[in-house]
Formats: sequence, C-alpha cells, structure tokens
Amino acid sequence: MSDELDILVIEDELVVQEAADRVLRLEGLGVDRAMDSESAVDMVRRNVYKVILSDLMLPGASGFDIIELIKTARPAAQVIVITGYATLENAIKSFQLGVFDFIPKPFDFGELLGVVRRALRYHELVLAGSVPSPLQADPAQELYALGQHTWALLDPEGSATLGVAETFPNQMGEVNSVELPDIDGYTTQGRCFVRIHSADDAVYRVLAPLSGQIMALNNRVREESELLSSDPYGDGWLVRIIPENLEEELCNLTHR
Amino acid sequence: MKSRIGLQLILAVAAVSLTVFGLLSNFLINSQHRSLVTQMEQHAEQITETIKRSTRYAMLRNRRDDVHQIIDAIGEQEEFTKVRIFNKEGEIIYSPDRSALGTMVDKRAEACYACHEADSPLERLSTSRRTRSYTDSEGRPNLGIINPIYNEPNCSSADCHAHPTSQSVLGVLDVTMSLDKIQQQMAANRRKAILLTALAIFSTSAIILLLHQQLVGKPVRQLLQATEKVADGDLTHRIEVKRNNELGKLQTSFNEMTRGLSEAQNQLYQSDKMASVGRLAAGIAHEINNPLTGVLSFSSLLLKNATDNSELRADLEIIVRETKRCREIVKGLLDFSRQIPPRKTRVNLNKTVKRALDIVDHQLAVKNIAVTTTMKEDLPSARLDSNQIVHVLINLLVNAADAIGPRGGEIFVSTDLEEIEGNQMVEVKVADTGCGIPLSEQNKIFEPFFSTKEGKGTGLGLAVVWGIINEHNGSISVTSQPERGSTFTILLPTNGRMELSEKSHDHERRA
Repeated sequence: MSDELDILVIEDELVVQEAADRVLRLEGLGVDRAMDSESAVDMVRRNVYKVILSDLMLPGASGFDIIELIKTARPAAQVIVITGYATLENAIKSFQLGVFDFIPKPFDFGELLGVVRRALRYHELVLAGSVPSPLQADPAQELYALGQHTWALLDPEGSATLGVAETFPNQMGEVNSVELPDIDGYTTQGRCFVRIHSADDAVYRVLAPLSGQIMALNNRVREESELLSSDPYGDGWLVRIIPENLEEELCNLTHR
Repeated sequence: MKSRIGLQLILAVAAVSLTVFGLLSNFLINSQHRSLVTQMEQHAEQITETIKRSTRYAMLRNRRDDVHQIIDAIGEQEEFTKVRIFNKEGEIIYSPDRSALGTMVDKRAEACYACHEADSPLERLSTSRRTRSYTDSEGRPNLGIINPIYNEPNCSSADCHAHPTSQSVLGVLDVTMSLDKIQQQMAANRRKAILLTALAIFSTSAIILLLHQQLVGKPVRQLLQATEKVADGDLTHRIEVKRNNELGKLQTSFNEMTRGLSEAQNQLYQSDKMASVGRLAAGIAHEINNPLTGVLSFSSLLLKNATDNSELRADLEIIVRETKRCREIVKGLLDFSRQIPPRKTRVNLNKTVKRALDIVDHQLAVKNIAVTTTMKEDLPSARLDSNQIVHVLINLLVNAADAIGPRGGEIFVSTDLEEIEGNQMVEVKVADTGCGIPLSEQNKIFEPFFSTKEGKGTGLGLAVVWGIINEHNGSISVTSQPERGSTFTILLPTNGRMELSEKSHDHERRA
C-alpha cells in the first residue's frame, strides 16, 4: 500500500476547490483535487486518502455512486459530503452509505476546518481499531443515532433528549463555547441545531436527529463543556424536545 | 323579434287559441242560429194557426172576399214573402198576388214535397216536417211552413158546396217568411266572434311576449352574454340575479360556477407561477452557492488572520456577516423552491395554533399587541405537518405585528370547522388591525420576492407560506382594507387531501 495521503477534494466548481484547498493547506494538510467523477475514481483507485470531500452533483456521475465506490474500495477513508442541496433526504442517504458527515455550501473557514479535523481524528481511531462502541445509558430507554455523531434518547414521558455521541467531542480540540438554540425554538431533523466553537477556530456543527419543540436546554454544557466527552449520554446532553412526526423520523435513524 | 322561442311560443298559443275560440264561437253561433230558426218556426206555426182561425169563419160561410182580404192584409207585412192557400188539387185559390190565383202548384215544388214525397200523400205531419228553409231565386233565405186545412163536420155539412166527408185535407195554407234579418244578425254575430277571437289572440300573445321577455328572454340573454364573456376569459363577470325561479337559480349556479372556475384558475395560475419561480430560484440559489462558498471561505480565512489589524478585522467581519446573510437568503429560497413535502400526522389545529402563539407571545406583548383567540371546541384532528403549519402561523403573526407597527393594536386568531364541496376543512384566521394591503397588491403578496417591508424582509415569507399550504392541499386567502387591517384565512382538509381534486384528476387521466 502506498503512503496515505491527507485529503482529496472532488468538486467541479473551481472556487470551491480553491477555498477548500486554501483552508486545508493552511492546516498543513496535503490536498489533491478532482474536477469530475472520472478523475475522482481514478485518484481514489491509485491513492489512499484519509479524508475525501465530495460534491453530490458531479459531471458524469452522481456523488452517491462515487461515495459507494470509495466506501467499497477504501473503507477506512472518511467521506465528507459538500453539497448545495443539503436536504434531509441527501443527509439520510449519505449517512446510510457510511458518510462521516456532511457540510452544506456555502461554508466558512471554521466550519470546514471543524468537520475535516473531526474526520481526521476519527480516521486515526478507525486505523487504530479503537473506535469506542456507543454506550447504552439505560436499557429501558431507546437510543437512536443520526449518522455517527448525534443521538436521541426517547424518554418514557414522550419527550426526547438530544446529544452528541462520545466520538464527537473526542474528535474536537479544546472547546471554546457551545452555541445552543433558543429555548422557544425548534429543531429540524438533519439540520444543524448546536454549534460548538473550538479554541483553534474550528466550528463543529451538530445535526438534529429529531424535529420538535425545544422544551429544555442543558445550560451546564456552556460552562462545563468537558461534560460532552465525560458523560455524553448523561449530564452532557444538549437539548430536550417534544418530538413531532416521531414515527416517520425514527425510520431515518439507526437504533442502538 | 330576436327570440325564436318567444315566436314559437306565440305561434303555438295563437294556433291553440284560434282553434279553441274558433270551435267555440262556431258552436255558439250555430246553436244560436238553431234556436233562432226554431223560434222562427214556432212563430210561423202560430201565424199559420192564427190565419187559419181568422179565415175559418169566412170559409165556412164561403165568403171568399173576406178570406182574400185577410190574406192580403197579412201578406202586406214585410216579414212575409208569400201567403197563399191552395186547394187539394194544387190550385192557388188565395194569395195577395192576384196573378198567381188559379195557377197550379207542382207537387214536386218545395211546399208540397214534404207530403207528396211518397205515392200516396201523407195527411198529418209534425211541425218540423212542415217547415222548410230554402233560398229563393234572388238568393234570399226563406222559411216556409205549410199548414193543412183539414176537413171538419162543419165543412162537409155546409150548404155552400159541401166538401165530401171522404176528403180529409181540403187545402193547404202556405206561409213563407224571409230569414234575411236572422241571417244578418248571424253574420253580425260571426263578425263579432271573429273580432273577439282576434282580440283574444292578440292580447294573449302580447302578454306572453311580455312575460317571456321578462321571465325568459332577459335572463337567458344575460346568461348568453355571461357565457360569451367567460368564453372570452373574463371570469369576473357576474349576473345580477333578480328572480328566484328556475332561471334565477340557473343564473345563481352560473355565478357560482364562474366563481369556482375563477378560484381554480387563480390557484392553478398561482401554483404554476410558484413552480416556475421555484425552479428559477433553485437554479439561481444553486449557482450562487458556489461563488458564495469562495467569498465566505476566503473572507473568514482573512478574518482569522487579521488578528493584529482591528480596522481590517472590522471590515472583514462585515463581509463575513453579510455573506452569511446571503447564505440565509439562499437557504430560504431553496426551502421555498424545494417545498419539502409535509410530513403529515393527525394533529389538533387548536394545539398547533397554541404552539405558534406561545412562541411569538413575548414578541407581541413587547410590541403592545393584544391577542384575542377564539378556538372552536371539539375541532376534529386534521392530517397536517404541525411544524410547517406553526411556521406558517408564526409568519402570519409576525407579519401582522409588522403591519400594526409601533403604536400597538390587536390580533384576532380563530379556528373553525367548514364544509366545502363535501370536504371537511379546518379553518384558521389571523386578523389584525394594521395598515392593511392595497387591493392592487393583494394578489401579489404570495409571490416570491414581493415585499412591502422595504429591505427588512426577503419577500419569501408568504411565498413559503403559500407553498406549505399548497402542499397541504389547502388554501390561503386574504381580505384587507387599507388602514383598517387584514385577515388571512387558511383552510386545510382534515383528511389531508381533496376528494374532489382527486376525482377530477381521475377524469383527466381517463380522458
């Protein structure tokens, strides 16, 4: 096996390529670029990348086809979807294909950095074979996950608690602040509801696993962000909601 | 006359009246004629009896001059054309016309025919058989009556010339009367009848024409004009309904049909427009996303690196902030254009309204706006996406607050149950006492990028609202009076779909 390369950016739009290239090179990462699906497939076959960023709309093929090919050929590579069509359907489909995360266009410097850093760290865990298995907080409760990073715990009273999986804080650097939503707000499945800003300028977007009306916020995590990693399924919860369309939305989640 | 139905109606009525009146008058005139003739016959019979009685004595005494005198006197009267007596052999023995005396009357003549029809003459005849009507050589109508003079014991025993007892009929008194007057009267009656019939036909036709014009012609003409206008695409035309009869009901239902068509067309037009604008917006938004990624990435990168230059940092912060604002607008556009299919569950609309109100409660209270809610009790649950409807209601409530402005005012929120074309619909109304919407803008407010908020809004709020309600197979409409306020009415089918539209789709497919 040839030496592992850092990043491959599959994107037909030059300015997006350049933006990703610039941001990631600043992190000291090596970046390869592919403009279309053919060269992308070619590069994935020839090289081994830690993290691959891919658009969903590419000339020649659908991004999903390329993602499938990557996950078959290079299962350890972490794929991040960059898309202008950040719909729930695309997000769900991406997660089903084993995509690490997705980031909607347009993104800023911190958002791209955050997701790539997390992916790189997760990649290290995967290579080391030390990906932590998710904990089951209470066998009586039902835990569901969106992708690998966020979870929803169904409480017997009908409410649901949302939080991040232990893999998520482990991949972040030092947390600077946790941006929680408004108390009278709503969460929408597949949409970012919490932003975690790290000390090193990265922004970690947390996607909501369920839609619903927010009824409680865990303000403790604002002060004690270490709770996110020390007790992610307990005191490190983020938001409690009254779910809407629970039945339908659960189909999009994986039961742990 | 323009109306063919009117003409046909009048012709039919005229024909029927003519037949009925004609038959009736004819019957009446004929029976009148018959009774007059009968009277005349009786009159003639009486006269012949009178003549017989007045000449009886003179005959018995064989005073022929006296008989002549009596016959002459009677014959002078105008009504008699002929008065004569002839003997058994047919010889005229008395007559005012002296030249006729002694002449023989042919047994085949009309006066004799009744008795002498058979070989042996009849001796006694009924009155009707003794009378006869005929037209004389000058064309004048006449009534003749014969009265046989029978043999009597006095006659056979008289010493004058003594008729033998074997003779039963001694002679015949024949009186002929002119029927001229009766005939004239009858003709006058006939003329009157014809005149009356004509008058009746004319007046009935006139009344029918008038009624037809008022009851049929005018409303049908209005309907015709209205259908022509509708065919020309004018769906705003309405017929002024004046009567509640069948045509009035037809006009009313025509108006309703046109209104329905107009609404359907408007809906279709709106959804067509929304769909094309949505496609356009999606295309633009997607195209803008890529350059925006460049701007946002590089500006945020610059911002990160500009730690020691506060002036540059402040400028860059504005660039990043405004680029992020663009990002939100594009997101809104894409949300609108995607019209995310609603995830419908059975929801009580009252609870959804309550949720929306809870969210904006504080915001409204701060703006000095009083909210009055009137919830319909026992509202059946409806299949809808609660989140989307909450989004819609918040949008309407925030718009209402903006319309009311800083002086404060009132918002009325109500729910109700409606039945429209057999579909059970839940209704929610949001009314405000704000600045209102000018009529010219009322059908534009749901268009994307139409905003009255002068840079405050994106102009997408109500377009998204419209899209959500459309996806729910519902309808949203607005009524507004400038300076008095606006009312938004949303109707949503309780079963989440429209039975009628589905049926019509079926028809289209089959067609």
